[in-house]
Amino acid sequence: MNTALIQKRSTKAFVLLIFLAFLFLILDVSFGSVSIPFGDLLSVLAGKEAAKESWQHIIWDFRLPKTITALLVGAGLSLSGLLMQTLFRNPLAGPFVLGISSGASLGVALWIMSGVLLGGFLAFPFEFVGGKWFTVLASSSGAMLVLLLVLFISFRLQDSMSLLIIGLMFGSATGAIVSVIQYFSKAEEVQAYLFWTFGSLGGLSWIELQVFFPVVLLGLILAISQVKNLNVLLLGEEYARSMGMRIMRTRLWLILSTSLLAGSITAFCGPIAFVGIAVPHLARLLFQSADHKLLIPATILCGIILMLFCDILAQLPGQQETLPINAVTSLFGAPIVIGLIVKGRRIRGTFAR
Amino acid sequence: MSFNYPILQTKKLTVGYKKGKNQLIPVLKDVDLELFRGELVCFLGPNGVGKSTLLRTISSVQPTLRGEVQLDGKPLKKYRVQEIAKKISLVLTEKVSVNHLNVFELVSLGRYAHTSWSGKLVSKDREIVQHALEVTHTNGLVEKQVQELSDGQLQKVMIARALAQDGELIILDEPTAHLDLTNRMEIMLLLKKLAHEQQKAILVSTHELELAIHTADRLWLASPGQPIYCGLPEDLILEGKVAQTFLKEGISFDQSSGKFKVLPVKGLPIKVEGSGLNYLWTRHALERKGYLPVTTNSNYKLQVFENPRRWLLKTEEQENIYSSLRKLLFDLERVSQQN
Repeated sequence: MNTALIQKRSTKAFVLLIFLAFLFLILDVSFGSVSIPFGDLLSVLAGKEAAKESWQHIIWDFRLPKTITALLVGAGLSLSGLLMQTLFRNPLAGPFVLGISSGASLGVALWIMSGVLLGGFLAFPFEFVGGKWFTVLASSSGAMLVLLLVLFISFRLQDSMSLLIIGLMFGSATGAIVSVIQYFSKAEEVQAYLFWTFGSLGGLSWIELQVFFPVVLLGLILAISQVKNLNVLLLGEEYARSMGMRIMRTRLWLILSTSLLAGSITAFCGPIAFVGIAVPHLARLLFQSADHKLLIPATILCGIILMLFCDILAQLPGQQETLPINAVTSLFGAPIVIGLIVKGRRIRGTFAR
Repeated sequence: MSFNYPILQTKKLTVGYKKGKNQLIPVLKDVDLELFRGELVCFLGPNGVGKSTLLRTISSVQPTLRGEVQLDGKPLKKYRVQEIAKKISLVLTEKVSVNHLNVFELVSLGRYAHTSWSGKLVSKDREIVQHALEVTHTNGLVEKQVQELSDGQLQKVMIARALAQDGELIILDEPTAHLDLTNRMEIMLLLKKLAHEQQKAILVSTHELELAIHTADRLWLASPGQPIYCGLPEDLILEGKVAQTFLKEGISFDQSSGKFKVLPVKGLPIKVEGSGLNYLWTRHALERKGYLPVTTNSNYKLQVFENPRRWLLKTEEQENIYSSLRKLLFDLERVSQQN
């Protein structure tokens, strides 16, 4: 295909994606358990007053933080998925191959159901345990611990397939520990843990966003700074090294970026599956390119759109209930990943061997 | 060939692997080699002798066990990775396969060590990439996807990428292993041209002895337990080093033709008379079947005629004329087994 034609096509695709992102952004803010007229919505967003004061409160303190969270989660998870797929040259890698979500779930399980281990000796009152900040802390430290373990092993092995297997093994090992903890826990604790695993985009206050937003932003900036290294990694590590890339340093930056993105997202929103694996493939298929200068913005935009879309679906218009976001993303993510595997040919050649 | 100072020099270099913490497994020991700008050097040797290990060490992909590699008179260890990349570029045997990457993008990746963090090409980079594409005759492929290329085209594109890296030394590890004969010749001629016209130092490891003899300015010969011999192809043949390197039972190196031959096994002497192509290929067929064509007297005499191709076989008992080589060989086998 002609280079000029490709450029024209990708410009078109970008315009379309940006348009869709804005559309879904507005839709996501408009839908909710309370229906608010569109005119009032716009005036609230413009900083004016709405017909009802409660609407103002709903939009500012609930819907807008939730939409911003969805945006950050979509962008962050998808981009970290792209980083891991390129780093390990494996199309089935995702943000959680490094054991971040299994570590986080272990941390949260230990924290929420700590009564089991400490035998009531040091058990905190349940309300205290349920506090958002403590969950974030528990999740982050669990993720960090398992991440370091997986990294320690992977740096000795240096090949992508064994890393995937190690990630899987850590997943089942932590899963087993979590079930043992659950077995000995009180019903309300198990329920609290289960709610965390459903994932949630809501419930973040502006104060929490003030922490979440800069961390994700830093992760995104780090990822973007590695654009050239990512492109060279496509040829494999030997070529990359011979062309002057410092493998260890690049690997560390990419892993740091992924840890910031996937770690903070899991900490604040729970383990959200599939987005990270599926979206980079969508971006590649859409732009027919391996150039990360295109793929990074494309993946971010596709991730934002998919996440907002899932959030709108989860909202079930006109209903009080919301579906767990993790179920919605998996329901959508799974068919996409299955479809891509069935089309195998496209994936197999994605990376140099 | 220029007789200036070498771009690359190894001093008492030992290459190999580390097993565990302290145990060293040397593959090639105390290697002293030199490489000059403007020359194509072919590195030959049997499988497993350590050619790849030496190339990987020279290009600093692998650490040295003992001794030193000097690049432009300065120890390789003192260079930063990026500085080495500006002097040495590497082409590997394995096929690169990446979806949705076109040839221009692939060759441009060679500018990695020269561009800013974003990898954006400035006009000088574009000129160098363009030049690399031109001299490798891959200009017409720029908009093709890497996946669509034939193996020969892909290897030429990888060489263009190495050129875009703009170093003075290009190291290629068996670049022709996947290619058919004409593509192998084309790649070797291209490398020779690059060495002579672009004043690059080019080091190629290969198993193509005959091709190497015809194209290389110098050869490096490695064989197990021997020092590495280097010199002009002709000198090494006459000194018997080539034959010695590839010493194997049942195979001999013919010094006059520069080719390998399978040694006769049965060795039944047959006196062959005649001349021309039919004579030559008849001898070839006899040797292949394990007979020993001789010019001295023997119980079996074979006269070879050209135009029309006929063969007259005389033994002590009988005399037969044949119209095809196949029938002759068939009869010969029957007769020789009876005796």
